[in-house]
Amino acid sequence: MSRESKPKAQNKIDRREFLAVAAVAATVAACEQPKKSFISPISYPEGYLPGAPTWVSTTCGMCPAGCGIQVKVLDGNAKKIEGNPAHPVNHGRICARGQAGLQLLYHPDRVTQPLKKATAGALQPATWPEAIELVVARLRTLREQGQSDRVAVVTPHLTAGRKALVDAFLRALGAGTDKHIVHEILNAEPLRAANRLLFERAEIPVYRLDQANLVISFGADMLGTWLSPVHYTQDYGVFRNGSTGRERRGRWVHVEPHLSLTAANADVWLAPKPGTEAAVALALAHVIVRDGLGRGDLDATAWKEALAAFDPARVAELSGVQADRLESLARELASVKPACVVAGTNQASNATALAAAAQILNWLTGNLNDTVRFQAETAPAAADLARLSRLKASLEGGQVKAIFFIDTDPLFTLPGRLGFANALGKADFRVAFATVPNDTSAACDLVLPLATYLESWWDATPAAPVGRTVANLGRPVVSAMHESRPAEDVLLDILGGLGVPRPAANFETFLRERWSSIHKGSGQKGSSDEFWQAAVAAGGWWSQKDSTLPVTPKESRLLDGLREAAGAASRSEATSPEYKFVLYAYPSTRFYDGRHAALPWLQELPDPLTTVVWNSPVELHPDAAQTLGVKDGDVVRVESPEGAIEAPVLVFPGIRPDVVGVPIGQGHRENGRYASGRGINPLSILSLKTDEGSGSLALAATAVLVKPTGKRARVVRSQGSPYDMGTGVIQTISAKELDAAHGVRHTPPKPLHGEQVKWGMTIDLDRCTGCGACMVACSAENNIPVVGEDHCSKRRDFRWIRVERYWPDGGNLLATEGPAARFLPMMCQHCENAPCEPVCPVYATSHNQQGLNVMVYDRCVGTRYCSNNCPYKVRYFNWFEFQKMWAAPLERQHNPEVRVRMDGVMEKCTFCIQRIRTASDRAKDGGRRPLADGEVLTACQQSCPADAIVFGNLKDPEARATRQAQDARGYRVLESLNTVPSLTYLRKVTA
Amino acid sequence: MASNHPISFSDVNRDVLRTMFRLSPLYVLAVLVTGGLVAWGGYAWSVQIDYGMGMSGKRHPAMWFLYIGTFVFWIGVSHAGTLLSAILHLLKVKWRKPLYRIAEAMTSISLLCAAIYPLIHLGRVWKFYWLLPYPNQRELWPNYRSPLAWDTVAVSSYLVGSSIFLYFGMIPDLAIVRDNSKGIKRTIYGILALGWKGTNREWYVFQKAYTIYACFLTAIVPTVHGIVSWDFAMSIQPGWHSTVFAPYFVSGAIFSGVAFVITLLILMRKFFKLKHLVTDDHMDKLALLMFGIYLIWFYLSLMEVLPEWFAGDPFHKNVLESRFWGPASQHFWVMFVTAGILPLFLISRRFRRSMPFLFVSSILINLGMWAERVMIVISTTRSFIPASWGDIQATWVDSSIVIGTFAMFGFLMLIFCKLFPSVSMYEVKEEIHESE
Repeated sequence: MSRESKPKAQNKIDRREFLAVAAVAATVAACEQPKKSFISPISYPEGYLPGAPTWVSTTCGMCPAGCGIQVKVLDGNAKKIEGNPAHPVNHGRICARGQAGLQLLYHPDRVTQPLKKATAGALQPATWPEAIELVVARLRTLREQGQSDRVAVVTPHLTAGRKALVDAFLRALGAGTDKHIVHEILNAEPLRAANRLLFERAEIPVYRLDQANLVISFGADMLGTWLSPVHYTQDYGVFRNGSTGRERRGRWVHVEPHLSLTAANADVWLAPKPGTEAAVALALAHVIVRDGLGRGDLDATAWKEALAAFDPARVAELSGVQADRLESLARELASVKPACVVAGTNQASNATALAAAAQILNWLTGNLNDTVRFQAETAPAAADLARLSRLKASLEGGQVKAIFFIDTDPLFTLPGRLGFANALGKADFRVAFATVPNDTSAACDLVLPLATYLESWWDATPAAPVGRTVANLGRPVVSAMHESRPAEDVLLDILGGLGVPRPAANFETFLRERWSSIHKGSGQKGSSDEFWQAAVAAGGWWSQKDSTLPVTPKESRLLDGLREAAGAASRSEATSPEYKFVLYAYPSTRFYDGRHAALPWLQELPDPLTTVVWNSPVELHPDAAQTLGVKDGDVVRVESPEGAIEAPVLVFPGIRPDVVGVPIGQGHRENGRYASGRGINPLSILSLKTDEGSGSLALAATAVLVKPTGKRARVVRSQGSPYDMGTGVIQTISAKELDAAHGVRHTPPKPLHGEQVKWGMTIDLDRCTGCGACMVACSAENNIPVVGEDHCSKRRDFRWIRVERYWPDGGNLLATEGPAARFLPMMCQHCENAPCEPVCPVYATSHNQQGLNVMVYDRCVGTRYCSNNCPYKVRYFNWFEFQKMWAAPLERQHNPEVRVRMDGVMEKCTFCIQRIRTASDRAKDGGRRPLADGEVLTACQQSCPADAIVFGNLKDPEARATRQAQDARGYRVLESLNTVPSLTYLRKVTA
Repeated sequence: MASNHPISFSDVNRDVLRTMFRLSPLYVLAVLVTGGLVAWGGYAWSVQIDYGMGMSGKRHPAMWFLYIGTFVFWIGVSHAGTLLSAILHLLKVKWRKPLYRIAEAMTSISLLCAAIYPLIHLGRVWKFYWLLPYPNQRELWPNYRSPLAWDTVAVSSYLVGSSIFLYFGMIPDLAIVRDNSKGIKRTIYGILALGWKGTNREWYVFQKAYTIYACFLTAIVPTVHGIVSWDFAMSIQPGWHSTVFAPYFVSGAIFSGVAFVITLLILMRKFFKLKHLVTDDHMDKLALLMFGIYLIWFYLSLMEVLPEWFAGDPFHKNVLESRFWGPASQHFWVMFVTAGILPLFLISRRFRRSMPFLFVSSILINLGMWAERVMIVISTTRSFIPASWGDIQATWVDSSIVIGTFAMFGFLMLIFCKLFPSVSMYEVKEEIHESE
C-alpha cells in the first residue's frame, strides 16, 4: 500500500492544512492589534512586500544640523539609518550620532507612559487623558487667577513649524513668544553676534570648504560637533583632494588649546592659551595690514592704529604661539586664494571678538562672498545665559508658575552655580516631555512620553546653511513605541482641553498648512498637496539653485567692530596662583552636549582622540601630570570656586600643560541604564562667565585647581599602543615625495582569487578624519553586540571595523610639525593568502569564488587559532553569549539579513556579504551581470562622511576601487608578510 | 655498581610489593586533597562551559593563555618518561632500570592531563569531534594543513603508544604481583599478566618486542613535541614563527620532564623507603642528564632570541621587549632565574647528590619551564598591529583548571603507585644480577 493511499488519521493534519490554518491564525493575530501595525498610505509604494525592506526618507533629529536620512523599515521595525543621497546637507552620509538614533527609538528605558508625581514624590503611572486633564486643570487655575501668561516652554533648537507651534501655543495661552526659551549649551551665538556687529547680519555664514585652498579654524570643531559636521566633513574630503579633480590639496590650520577632531586632522595645530585665540587672529590681521598684503582699498592708517596692540611679538608672549609662526601664517593666508577663516564657538569669554576677528580676516583677504557667504535664514537664537538667569528669577519670583521642558535637560547642561534646580523647585507645575528620563524630568511633576523624531511629524531648518534653501520634513517611519506621542500634538490637545481655539486639529495638519506657504515660496508647479506628497517622499524640499547673497560691509563699521573686539581680545582667560588651570569643557564627538549619552552604541564607540569608552576622564598634559605626580587612572579632584568633580586622569598629549580637558556628555544622574551615574559633567562646575558679545555661557573660561585624591579608578581605552613602534603599519607621504612620484602608478598585486569578481577596497587616509561613523554603521548593519565597560576593559569588545589612532613618534604633539594624529580604519583585509585559513582545523574560514575571506560560524569550534595568526588582529571571539545581553526592545533593530553569532565562535568583517548578495540578486533580476561599479556599498563606505572608503570589483579595470588602488599613495598594511590584502590604503599626505 | 650490600631477588620483590595496596593515613589524605582539587577544577570547567570562554582570563589579542601553556608543559613532562624507558633502553644505559617505571607512568598520566586541554580550550567543546576524521554524510574532513589537526594525531598516537608500552613492560611484574596475592586480586592481576610464566621463550619474545616498541617510541619523542612546537612555529606571529622551535621545544620538554622524574623519585624514595633500590648514584646520573639537556635547551633559547635581536626586525623586537618589561615579563624573569640560572649549580657533584637541593631545584625548574611555555603563548599580546596590543590576566576559572590538572596528575600517580609496582622488579633484578 502506498503511503498516499493510507487513510488519514482523525486527529492528524497534513502540511497543507497546517499551513492554511497557520496563515489564517497569523492574519487574525495581525488584525487583532490594529494599533501595532503601521502601514502608512503615503510612503509605502504599491506592491509592498512583507519581509522586503523599505527605505523611508525623513530628517535626522539627533542634533540641529538637519541632515536628511533614510530609514530602512522592515515589517514595522526600523533597522538602519543612512544618509539621504539627495539631501544637500549631507549627500547620503551620516555621522555616528545620527545612526545611533535607532537606539533612542528602541531604548529599553524609554518613558513608556505618562508619569505623575504622587504626594510622596515618586512618579506614578497615569493615562494620557489623566495627564492632559492634569495640565489643563493647572492652566485653568492660572487663568482663573489671571496669570495664564505665567508659563514658559524650554526647548532645544526648534525651527520652522515646530517653533511656530510652540509660539502658537504660548499665544493661545496669552503669553508672549519670549516665553519660548531655546536652550542649546553648544551654540554659534558668538558668530551671529559678530556678524551682527560687522555686517548687520545675524546669520551663520555658508562656508565653502570644498573650494578653499587654506582653512584656518579657531576652536570650531567642524569635523566633530560644530554646526553641521557631516556637511563640513564631506567638504573636507574634497578639500583634501584625495582623488577628486581639484587642482591642489587644501591645507588646514587649526587653533585651539585642546586637540579636537578638527585639530587632529589639521596640517598644523597651534595651541594658544585659552582666550588668546582672538589675539592670534588679530595678530594675523596686524601682519597683513602692516605689510600691505590684504586688500588695497584700505584706510591703512586707521587699521594699523586699531591693530597696533597685536604685533606678533606681543601676541606671542600673550598666547604662547611663536611670533615667526604667526608671521608666516599671516603671509600664507594673504597669499593662498581662496582661503577661509572660521571661528564662532562659545568657548572663550571673548568668543564674539574671536568670531569678529575671523570675519575681518576673511574680509581683509578677499574671501568674504567667496568661501564665506551669507544666505537668508531664520533659525532662532539659542538662549543666552542672561535669559536663562531671567527665567530662573521668574521661577523664583513666581512670574513663571508652569514650565514645560520639551526634549531638553537644562538641569544637566546648566552650571550648578546658576541655581536653576532650586528655582525650578519653586515653580507650581513642571512638565517634562522626555524620551528617556533625564535629570530635568526627574525633577518634574509630570513626565510625558515623548515620541522620537522617527515617530512624529515635524519640520526644521538646518542649523548651518549650505547655500541652498532647505526645508526639512520629518515623518513617522514606524508606529510610536509604547504610549509616546509628539509634544506638538499634546500641546494642541492641551489647548483643546482648555477650550482655547486650537490652531489645528493635530500637528500634521498644522504642518501641511504651513507647507502650503513653503510651496508658494518655492515656485514649484502643481498643487500644494502634490508638493506636500513630494516633500514627504523626499524628506523635505530644497531649492536647486544657489541662494547665497553677497554682503557689502562698510569699512567704518568693520573698524568699529574691530575696535570693540580688540578690547576683549587682548587678554587670556583669567587664572590665579590657586586656580592654575583652565577647565576646557569640550563637546564630545559621541554625546554632543550629553543628549546621546543614553545610547549604548555611542558609549561603546571610542572617543576618536582619547580612545576612551564608557567614561569621561580628566585629560592632563604629560608635563602637568608629572608636576602633579599623577598617572593614568589616578583619581583627581577638579575644583572650581563653584564646585568639584572627581574622575581618573588620562595623560593626554593633545592638550596644553596649563589646561585640563573634560568632555561634555557624561555625568547624568538620571538617563537610562547606560548613562546614569557614569562619568563626570564638567558643565556642573563652570563659573557663570559668558561670552561678552553674545551672552552665551563660556565653556572654556573657568579657572580650576587639580588635586590628587590618592584613589585609583579605571579608564578604559579601546587601543593598545598609541605609537607605530617602527612597524610601518601607518604610513605617510610628504607633499614633495608625492610630487616626485607624480604619474608613478602603484601596482597592486594581481588578484589570485575570483573568476569575474574579486572584491576589494581602498581607504584614503588623507580623507579619513577618524570620526567613527563607519564603526556605528558596521554595528547597525551586522548586529554587532555592545558588551559594556567591564568587557571593554578586558578588550572583549567587537569592532569589525575599528579606527586606530596613532601619535607621531615621541608623542610631543605640541612641538610636532605636521598632523597631530594619524587614523587607520582597520578591518578584515580579506587577504588572498589569508593566514587565518590554513590554521583552522575544521575549515571554518576559507575563500569564496569572489575573493572574499568568509567565516562559517556554524562550523567554528572556537580554537581561536585564526585570531592568533591574523596579523591585523581583526577577528573577534564571542567570549560569552553577548547577543543575549540586548535589553528589549533594542533587539528590534537587528538586521534580519545578518545572523547573530553564538557563544564560542569567531566573527569578523564580511565586506557586507549580505549587501553584495542583495545587489547581485537585484542585478540578476534586472538581467545585468556583472554588477555595475558602485552598485554595492558596504555599510562603512555608505556612511563615511569624508568618502574615504571605496569598495568594488578589482577585476574591473574601470572600477573606482581598482583605479584608486593604483594611486601613487597606495600601500598595503604589513605587505612584507605576503598576505596579499584586498585592501589598499592611500597614504596620508604630510606637508 | 652501586650497592654495597648484596640485595637478593626476594628482597626486591618484598620491597616493591610492600609499597602496593597498603593505605597509610598520609596517603589517604593526599588522595583526598588531590581528588578534591580535581573536582574543583572540574567545577571551574563546567562554569566555563556554561557561561562561556570569557570566564577564563583570555582576551584580545591573547587568544591562548594558561590552557595552551599548560598543555605544552604536560606534553613536555611526558617526554622524560619515554626518554628513560625507551631511548636509554636502546642505548643500554643500566642505571635507568629502577627509575623508568615511574617515569613511564608519568608519561601516560601527564599525557592524559595534556590531552584534556585541547578540549578545555575549545570555544564550543561540545563540537570537539569535528576535529577528528570521522566519516560523515557531508564529507567534511579536518583541515590537515592546520597544525592543530597534526596535534590531534600526534598526541593521541603518543598517548596510545606510551600507554601500551607502559603496560607491556609491566607484564612480568604483574605476574609477580599475581603470584604474591590471593583471591580477587590474584584473578585480576592474572588477567593483566596475560598468563606470563617466565619461560625462556617468553623472555626472548618479550625482550625482542620491547626493543622494537622502544624504537617506535623513540621516534615519537622528537616528532610529538616537534609537532606541538609547530602549533606556534607554523604561524606568522612574531615570537612563534621560528625554525628553532622543534629542537627548542623537545629539549625544553626533556629538561622539564627529567626534573619532574627527579621530584617524583625523591618523593618515592622517602615515602616508599626505596633508597637502596633507587640510590644516590642513580639520582646523580639523572641530575647529570638534566644538566646536559639544560645546556642544550639554554643554547637553543639563546639561538631563538639572538638572531631576532641582531636582525632588528621591529615585530620580533617588540615581542622580545614584552618579555623583558612587558606583559610577559613576570613569566620571563621567573623562567630566567629558575630554569636559566639555577641549574648551573648542577655542575657540582655535591649539589647533584644533595637531595634537598635536587628536590627544590627540580620543582623550581618546572615552575620556570611552565612559565616559559606561558610566556611563549602570550607573545600575541605584542602582535603586528601596535593598536591591538594588550595585556592578560588570569581568573579564578583558568587558575582552578590548571591547578586541577596538577592535582589530577598527583591523584592518578597516587592511584598508580598503589595498583601497580612503581619500580620495575625484573629489571632491578637484572641490574643486580649483572653487577654480581
